[in-house]
Amino acid sequence: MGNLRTKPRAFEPSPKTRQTSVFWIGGLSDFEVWDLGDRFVGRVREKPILARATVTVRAVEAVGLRADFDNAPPRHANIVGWPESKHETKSRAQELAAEATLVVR
Amino acid sequence: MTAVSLTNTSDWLPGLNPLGLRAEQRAISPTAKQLEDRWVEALDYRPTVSIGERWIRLVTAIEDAADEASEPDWDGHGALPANELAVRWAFQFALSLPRDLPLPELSIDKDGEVSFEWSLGPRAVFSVSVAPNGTLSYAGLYGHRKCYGVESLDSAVPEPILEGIRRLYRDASAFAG
Repeated sequence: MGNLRTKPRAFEPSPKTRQTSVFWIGGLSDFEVWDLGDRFVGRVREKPILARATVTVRAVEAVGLRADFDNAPPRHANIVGWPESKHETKSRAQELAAEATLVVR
Repeated sequence: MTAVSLTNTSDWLPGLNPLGLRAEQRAISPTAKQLEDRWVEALDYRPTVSIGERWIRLVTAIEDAADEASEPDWDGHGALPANELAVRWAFQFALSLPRDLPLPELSIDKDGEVSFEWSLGPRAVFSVSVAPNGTLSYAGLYGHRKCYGVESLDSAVPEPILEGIRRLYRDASAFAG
């Protein structure tokens, strides 16, 4: 039960905002990517970041969603456009996870 | 674009026993205990070691998942805690699964529903989410083909869901990566 892969639920949207919080990492070194996560995610949650999953904007758009860049905090964006129904949301999260690259720290 | 996964430590969902009942909802008299034991036996959990082990593993997985998500905002992005009614329906769904199916991976969705997932690779995955009212939302990815839909849990696992799981293993070599 359990293996190293990106879980679809990592992409499922917040039930409150219907958005998936992400960061744009284009042009960053590996160290800078982890630092970004530590500063704006890990520190807030007071938990270490053990892995990250990366997908392209093209992959997001290919499943009928889109990236909405708000830059708050810097480089932050949201994946938006999720369908209302649970089963369609699950399906799109599965497709995103299938396209994602998992990087373990 | 990056989505970040964080660790979750776990304990058991406080107060829930393997039948999905809180301690205060369980009968504690000897007679009631006998009734509960008979009910368990009637549902055939214990006649063989393998069936008992399978049930214990499923129960443990459901409870561990529920405990990991027992607090509001457990994902740091507004996730709802594991819904207790969904957890109870999840026990019922687990009981209804045919014994020849591989054991699923259990987790809690961000909306508090209980998710059963079978996966052979990124493009070979089938998942069922159990809602607080017993609704089953499912989705499967088989290579570049997909299926999804909604069913209700009655006395048995709905056929589209059984077929979705079995298709994963029947055609595994075609799309598992």
